[in-house]
Amino acid sequence: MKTLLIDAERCIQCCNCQNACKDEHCDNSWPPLAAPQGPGQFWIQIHEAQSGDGSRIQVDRTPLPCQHCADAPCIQAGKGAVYRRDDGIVIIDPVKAEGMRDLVDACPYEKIFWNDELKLAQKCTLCAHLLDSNWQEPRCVTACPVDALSFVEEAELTPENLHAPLERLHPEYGTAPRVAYLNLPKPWVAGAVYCPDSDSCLEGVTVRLVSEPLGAFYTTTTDFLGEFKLKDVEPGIYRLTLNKEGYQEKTLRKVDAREGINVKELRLYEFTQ
Amino acid sequence: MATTMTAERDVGQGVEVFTTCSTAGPMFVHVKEGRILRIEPMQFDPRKVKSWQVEAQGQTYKPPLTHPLLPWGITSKHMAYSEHRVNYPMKRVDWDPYGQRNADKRGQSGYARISWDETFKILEDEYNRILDEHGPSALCYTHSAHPEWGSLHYLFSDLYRFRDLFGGTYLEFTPNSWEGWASGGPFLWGFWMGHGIPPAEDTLQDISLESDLIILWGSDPMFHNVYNGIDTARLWQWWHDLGKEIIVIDPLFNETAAAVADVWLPLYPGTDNALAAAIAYQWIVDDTYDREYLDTHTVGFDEEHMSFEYNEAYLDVHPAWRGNLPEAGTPGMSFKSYIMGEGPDGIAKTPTWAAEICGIEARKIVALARAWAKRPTSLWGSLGGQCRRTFGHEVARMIGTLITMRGMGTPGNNLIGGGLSLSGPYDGQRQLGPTGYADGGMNVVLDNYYPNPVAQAKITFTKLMDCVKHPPQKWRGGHLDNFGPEMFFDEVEYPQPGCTEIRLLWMRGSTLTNPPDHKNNNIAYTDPQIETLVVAAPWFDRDCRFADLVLPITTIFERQDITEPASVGQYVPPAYNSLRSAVYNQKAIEPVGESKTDLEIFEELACRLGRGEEFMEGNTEETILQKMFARTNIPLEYDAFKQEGYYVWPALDDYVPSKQFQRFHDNPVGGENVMETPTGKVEIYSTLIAAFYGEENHPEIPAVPHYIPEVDGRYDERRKKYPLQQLMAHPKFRFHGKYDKDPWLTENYKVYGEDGYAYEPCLLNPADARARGIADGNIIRCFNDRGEILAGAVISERVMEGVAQMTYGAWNDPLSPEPGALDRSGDGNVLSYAGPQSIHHVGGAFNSSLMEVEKVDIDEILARYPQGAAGTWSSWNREG
Repeated sequence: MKTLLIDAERCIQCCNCQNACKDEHCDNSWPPLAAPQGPGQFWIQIHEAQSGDGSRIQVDRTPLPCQHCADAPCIQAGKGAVYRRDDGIVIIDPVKAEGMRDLVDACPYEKIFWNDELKLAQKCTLCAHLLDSNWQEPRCVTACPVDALSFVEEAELTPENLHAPLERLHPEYGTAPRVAYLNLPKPWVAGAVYCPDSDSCLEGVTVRLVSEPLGAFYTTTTDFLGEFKLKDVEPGIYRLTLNKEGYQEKTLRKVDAREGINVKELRLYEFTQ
Repeated sequence: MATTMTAERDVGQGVEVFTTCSTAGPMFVHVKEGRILRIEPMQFDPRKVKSWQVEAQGQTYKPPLTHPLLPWGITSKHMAYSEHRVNYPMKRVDWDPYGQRNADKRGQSGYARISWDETFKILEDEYNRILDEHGPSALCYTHSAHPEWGSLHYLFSDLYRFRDLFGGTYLEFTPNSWEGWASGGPFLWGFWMGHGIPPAEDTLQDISLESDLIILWGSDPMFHNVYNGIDTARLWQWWHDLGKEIIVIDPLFNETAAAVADVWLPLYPGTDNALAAAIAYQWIVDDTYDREYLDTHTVGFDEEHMSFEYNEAYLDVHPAWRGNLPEAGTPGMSFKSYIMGEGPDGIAKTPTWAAEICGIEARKIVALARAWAKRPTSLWGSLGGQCRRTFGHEVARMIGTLITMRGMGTPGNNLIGGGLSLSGPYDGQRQLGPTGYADGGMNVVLDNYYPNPVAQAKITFTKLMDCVKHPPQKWRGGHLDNFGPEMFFDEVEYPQPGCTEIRLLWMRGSTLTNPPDHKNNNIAYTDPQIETLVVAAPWFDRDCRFADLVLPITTIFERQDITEPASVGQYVPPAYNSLRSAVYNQKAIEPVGESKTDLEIFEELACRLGRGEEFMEGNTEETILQKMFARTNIPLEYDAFKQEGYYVWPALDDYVPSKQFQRFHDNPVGGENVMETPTGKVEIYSTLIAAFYGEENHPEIPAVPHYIPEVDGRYDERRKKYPLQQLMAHPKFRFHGKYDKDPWLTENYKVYGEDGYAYEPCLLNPADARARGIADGNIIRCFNDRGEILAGAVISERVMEGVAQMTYGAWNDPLSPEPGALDRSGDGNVLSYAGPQSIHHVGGAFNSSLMEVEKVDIDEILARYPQGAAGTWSSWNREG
């Protein structure tokens, strides 16, 4: 069975996936799999979040389509109007599901939309009508200019085939989502180190971020501007330590990295003999 | 119908697949029962592609087989059938070409459908009348800066041929994309044909292999949006993965920064040259610049290189300068003297000095300068907002000087300006030209070429109002093509002796890059001096609202052409980063409504005026395309190419790269390697500027590049009243003003007010928003002395404090009919500065704009303007 593999870090929010979806499904009818997509629906949509402040910020984009869950609550709510195909794609039958507005609320990912004109709950079909006609992938995948989306065999989602750990979006919903993710947004800690004595940026400072309760430890060194960024940090409260030979060690306590954080310009003083 | 890549998959019964290419890139167009069913990015058949590739650090980059489309590409089905299409010819209801013209009602009256026959009868009568009464100089033509893509169906092709056949005045654009490089760059190092930008040759490979540090200075290459950008997205990812450090210097945390930047250094707009001067200062005190290179390749860097020997070949071509150029520079006026504070101003351009001005800490300026001196560095520094402002020419000359101090031509050191100067392997042969987009189109392949007989060739677009309202006028610079210094130094007169004022204005396309200080054009358009205003466009927007006649034009889906996809390959042939290819624009659908091509309209009018044979020489669209194709080296028959839909030139086996500046680096005095300057060298001290503007450092354009505080900028008195600097980076989901009303695009970026209206976003820093009590999503008024607009506040750390991103291109929707009225659409050009760059060039300085914002009660405003709130004067209202 094939599924979408989404590398969130690669997404540049061009929205070509959204619009390829609309191009395929708005004004076009693909019976028996889908009726025309209603206006204002996003069967796939780029969600954006910004974190940090000042000159250290991060913009995260996460493409969010129907997860075609293995344990899909919409199937249960559909009472026969929603079904899973042999290839794993979850389909809302556009005839049987007419009038079933409750389906919209059944999806914890909020990926089912109400078409008021057709009185129909609608969602992503993974372009099943095209796959059935020997197309290789759904429209959103072909339209992506950065390979943030790909269409892969589930069996191939193994560590040796992936360039980052496999993740799922909100596994806690308990629906066994089938869409695979890489590089979902995570907290980060960034700042810069300088020496006030000489007013110079400090390159090569060892930066350590530690949380004993979490058992988490991250380290990096500063670049020529004295800048550092620790990415993909587990959410938590940390201790940040700066070390460089010839300088006094500095420690920041209670660095709140439950979200991305800019710890700003940090001073490191020279040892004075 | 395209035969490739569709054989293996079932596109459905009765579906035909066509090829075409738009400004967004090449595409497959699926058509069923005469309507577009879907639009896909073009997918080259791997069996038909022999790709080039670059290898670095054991990793390989190959351009994609599926050509990425810019955002408006995938949505273009929507635009083909848009409610805003002009479906048939329309006449303004109260414009009577045989009686009352009511010019003052332009922008207010409605339109009535008329037949093509009536349209041509009116045009024929108008042309005959104006030619009889005033002569051809009264006929004026202009065009949108970036219309639909094409070789035959393009402004340089059909419009130029028609204009020049009868003669006419040209309302011209300037090189807005890299304005300061056009007005400054050539005085530093020539490259006149490229408007001052050095060539792109082999930069892609050199960056991949040799560059360690990448500096994006006022540059957002991934979403620059001039036919390209998105096709470099994978390349940026690759460079990032290779470990190249990417530093972004920009008032905005731009899209490329969001994707791949390691560090963002926010810089206050318009202070770029202060930063550049301090970098030069640091290199001088550290002695880390290429002194030997400067000695042999440049003049005017220091006091020891201020006597000039001139290149005889240059003086032969430009004899007027022989004997009129300085033998030596004035002592104390060298670049180094200026930087070190040993020149007339006595100010050392230290990092501390610059930090105060540009907002980047002194220690970071020092560190940046030192890293740049140590590591092979590619600078994305040409184009961008820093050169589209007052004294923009100084930015080009200063950044060019920095690049020169690094010994340009050495591995890994490059100067890039978006897609224009990024190029993979290219041999000068694999292209459609010279019939291409920039080269005259049909004029190249037809038997006769007609030079424009009218002496009054040009009005710069920002001078239209002055020319219409207050003739006579005189100005300098402001040309689209600049082949030599005379184009800046020679004064333009309007009307020119023997010519007349313009009476008819014909616009090929609605102005997509609408002019700064928007009310100026409205004032000109509503003047009775313009007796006839014709707009030929696919969509009813902007200038259509002021037209007397609106002519419906086909989109690329409704006609045939041959093009080169995306990037800017067809505009700047060596600038190409995809698979080098040609596309046949197959006619996918019949013209929507009664639309015609510009070519058909010009042909019919030429026939009625008795010159049809001269215009077409017996050709058809098809025979012209055959002639264009015959000039290419594509090894296919025309019919086969047309059927196939595209051709990909194979990678060259014996390709020898020759990167930017390498030949000049290796041999600066040899024949064709010399720079196109009077000395043949890089003129850090410009002998032409010194000769023309004086050797005592003209305050607006001195002999060596200076930091000059800009007009309407950080140190302008007006900042007390208007404390925010307006930033007008290209819109991400719009091609200038095109596709502003496509909901599939607008739902991604516009701010939908409680009144349901899609307001243009204004990006504000949280500190600026807080100080004014503005919350995210509030409707705000942005204003200055030039005008006022409404916008939706988007509060974001992505824009630095003191700066507001308020871009251009929204379709104007004034709430009352008078020029300068409050514009609900949020078109940033209502506010932007329309003055000249300097005494040297009247071209675009529109990024030098200050403004203020305030929260408004939108209900109260709409109640005050009931007619305006109903859209009475909106760009797209044709009912009146």
